[in-house]
Amino acid sequence: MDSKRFEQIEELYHAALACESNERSALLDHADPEVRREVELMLAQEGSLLDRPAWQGTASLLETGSIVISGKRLGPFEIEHLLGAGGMGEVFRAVDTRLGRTVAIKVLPRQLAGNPALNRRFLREARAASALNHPNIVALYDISSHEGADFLVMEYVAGKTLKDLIPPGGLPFDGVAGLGSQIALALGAAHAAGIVHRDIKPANILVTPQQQVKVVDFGIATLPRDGTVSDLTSEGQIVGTVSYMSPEQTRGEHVDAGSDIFSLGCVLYEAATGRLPFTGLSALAVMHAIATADQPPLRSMRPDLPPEFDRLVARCLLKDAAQRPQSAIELATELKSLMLPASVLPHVRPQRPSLAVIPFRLRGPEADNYLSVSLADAVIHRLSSSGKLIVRPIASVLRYAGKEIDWAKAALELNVDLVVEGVVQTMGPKVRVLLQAHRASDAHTLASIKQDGDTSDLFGLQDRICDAVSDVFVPRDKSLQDRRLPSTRHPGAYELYLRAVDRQVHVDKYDMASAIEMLTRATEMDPGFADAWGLLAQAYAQMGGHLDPDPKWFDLGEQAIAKTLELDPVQCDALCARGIILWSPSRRFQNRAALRALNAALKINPLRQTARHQRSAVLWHLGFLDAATEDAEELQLANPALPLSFLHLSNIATQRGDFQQAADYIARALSLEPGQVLAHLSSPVPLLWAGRVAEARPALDKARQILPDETFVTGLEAIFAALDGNFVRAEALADVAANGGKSLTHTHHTWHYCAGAYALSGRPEKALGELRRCADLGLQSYRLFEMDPNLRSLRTNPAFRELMTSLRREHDSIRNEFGLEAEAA
Amino acid sequence: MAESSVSETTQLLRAWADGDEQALEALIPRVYRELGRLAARCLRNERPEQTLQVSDLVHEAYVHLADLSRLDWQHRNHFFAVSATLMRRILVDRARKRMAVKRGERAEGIDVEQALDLSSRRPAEIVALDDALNELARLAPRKARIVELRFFAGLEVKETAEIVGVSPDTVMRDWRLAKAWLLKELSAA
Repeated sequence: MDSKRFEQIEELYHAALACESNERSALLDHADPEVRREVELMLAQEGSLLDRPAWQGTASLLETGSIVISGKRLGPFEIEHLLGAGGMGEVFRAVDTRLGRTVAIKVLPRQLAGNPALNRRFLREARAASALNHPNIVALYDISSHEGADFLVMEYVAGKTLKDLIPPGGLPFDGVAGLGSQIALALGAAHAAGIVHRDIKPANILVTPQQQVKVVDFGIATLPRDGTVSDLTSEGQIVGTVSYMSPEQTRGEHVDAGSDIFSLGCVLYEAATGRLPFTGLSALAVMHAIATADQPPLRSMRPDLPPEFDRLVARCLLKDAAQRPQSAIELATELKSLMLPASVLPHVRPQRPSLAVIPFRLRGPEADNYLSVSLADAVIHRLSSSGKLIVRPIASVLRYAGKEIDWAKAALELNVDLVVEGVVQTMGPKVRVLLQAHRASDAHTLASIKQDGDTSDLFGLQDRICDAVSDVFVPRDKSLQDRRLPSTRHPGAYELYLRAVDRQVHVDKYDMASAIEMLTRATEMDPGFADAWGLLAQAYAQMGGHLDPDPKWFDLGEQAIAKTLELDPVQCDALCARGIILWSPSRRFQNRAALRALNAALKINPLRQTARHQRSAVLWHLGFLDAATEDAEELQLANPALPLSFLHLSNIATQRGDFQQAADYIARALSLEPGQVLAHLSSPVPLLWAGRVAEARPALDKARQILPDETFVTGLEAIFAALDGNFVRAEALADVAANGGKSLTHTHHTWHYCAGAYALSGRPEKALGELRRCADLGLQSYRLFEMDPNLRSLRTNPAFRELMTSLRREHDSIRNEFGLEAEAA
Repeated sequence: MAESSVSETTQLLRAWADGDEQALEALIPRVYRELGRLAARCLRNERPEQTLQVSDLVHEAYVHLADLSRLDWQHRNHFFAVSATLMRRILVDRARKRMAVKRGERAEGIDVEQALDLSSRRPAEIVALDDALNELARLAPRKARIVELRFFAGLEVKETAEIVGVSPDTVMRDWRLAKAWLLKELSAA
């Protein structure tokens, strides 16, 4: 036979197949007899030799017949029916006849029961899962065996898998974020216990009719590599479902929490669009895409999604695990805060009425004093979280604590129109709260409120008071009714919490220490008390940030933050604490992570002043002047008596080159608080930059007088020396300042001034060295350095240009990541 | 799999794709070893939860041996092509040996051929098929190639189409014809 003949055979064979059988014989009749014979033989073949690939693995060994059938009993468990078959066995619905409780039972197939390696794996799964006790993880009740069969007894979850719930076009955003944050919390708890799930996919996520998530199948989760337990997949077995694998999984590498975060990113992507981020014709093609390709942008399919969500999912799906969100809890925080109603906070809103809550007067034993401030603080929190009022913070009303006050006078002093004041009476366990709300403009008493309660139910009492006061000023938003569930049911823990609130509002080392002590006890009494953990985190952050340089405070703070956010990923105090700790020298000024925490805090409570203050600082240190101004103005509006907002505004004006304005802001800060140390320190700077050396000199002398050992001042003195032409002295002073000890403020400002002194003294290399230190540690605004007149001589220096280019690149990258508006330079 | 081995394999695949035939010579033993290792693992019942198909072997071997981020589709196709040829060689050699040697012989340890013995095919059929496939390759090389990829490497129609460079419809058509023709040849033998 030759190729030509074969072609004839091919043609006739296909033609014969294409026609009806009654036409076939006619067709064949007309063909060459030899060709016809061949084709007829081919058409007659019924062999199956080629129907399956040449080789197949151990199928014969594996014909799994279930050992369990419906109605059969496994010890005390009565099997009802098969729920599904997973990678490591079949799952049945069953009833525990002892408790009458419905459970799910996962049985190891009999064929495998004799395999010690698998049996170990099965038990390892059990051990991993039993270490986890979390509302979003399917609970493991028991490990048992019956007639040689091992099985797990698990919580039965009536619900569907996420796989069955995602419609073709994706779920509504709130659904995606709500389910996603619960999955993230489950992973956060598992990761905290050292367990990586490794197979996060919609089929492993159960959703109850109440929209509660239950993550199942830690079947291939393994304990971390610690030498005692071998990594199940180290042989390079490709486990997990390919479409949700992380790039490191496709490469068969060791995986950690970051891998689960990638997989969760895939799940979020699919839940939002109904489509997988990485696709291909075969498993391998999918893996190739995961390892190399970029997913189609989410918003190309769902333009209605918030851009923050788009960016969040994109961060989860980064190829480099180190670039992904640092923890699953961080993801939960972001997802939950995205679900909060968008805060409409145009930064000037004069129509918002201003209000002050005066600490309530106490009628009762002194031991109950804490109620005075803590109840007032609770009312302040509630009223400010409405976003509809400008509420004076507790710090600005503390001076009225324990005093008989004239509310009209207080209104005047605090520059507010509305005042809430009243009395707390205690007698034994009984508490009565009598409050009044007044309007100063027409001297009208708007409402009188009476609430009775018991010290064993302070939480309920506090809630009722807040509701009642809130009703006077803010029509209640039905959708927010059940927003705040009590975060403890332990009355003792709650009382300690209230006492601690009273202590920690005084930013004082000893009060803070006792607040920490009380909160530590409160969290011991009720380890699930998220608000106590959050306040503890904040107290640690304040202690370490302002009151005591011991590094242990921030370490403890980080532990408390992790604990809080695991319990409640949108606990505002913990997020503020996170923003403070991360943006500090000891944590090397983690700009992005700090901004994320502060953004979330302000999304939760737009009037949260700690967060506003901290975010304004972070932003201007990075050269985002418009955004920093917005925060500083919000802060000023919320608390007109706070000098800090003017210090931010002054620094911003300096970067804009408006030195006169900058000097004015410092003057305003000092008029509010004549002893404000930071204002005194900063006051020579704008004058100096404006070339008004004669005015700057007395300001510097004043600063030196207040803080004799301050390196910040030494740095400024170096500039003065250089401006006087005394370069030797300038350099010597700068050397001292740059390598000197502590500064009241961050030392990067000192380094910045030293750079100016060096530049003026003809030491560009040393100047650049200091600027690089600034850029490495928190002060990296290219706008500041380009504006600084003392650095003028560097502007043509290639190394300076290079530094400015890299700072600008980082600036743009942060701008894109956080959706900050481009600013006119 | 050691890092260096992955990068060497990746290099070889790239070199071969660029026309270096010696690279293929160096590549073959590596692929052979990996296929054998995977098959042997399967025999040891380490992955009992699923039935391992030959295409899984080939895919997994590729993922193990190659650095996916440094290779493109063309390299993958080359890899599958060589794997298909190797699988054919392995299976046919083993079948010939089985026909020549009496049963009861037992090799030391578990080797790849032994693992592949789990195939339920009768050795004679495999050997006859190999001869018929050589004949088909002479008459219609593309169809023989498709059989190799589909039958010996267990690849999907779409994957096969991509490697051979024709449409999936054409693969289906050729596959059907080739099967009928091969079965005819075997039944006549």
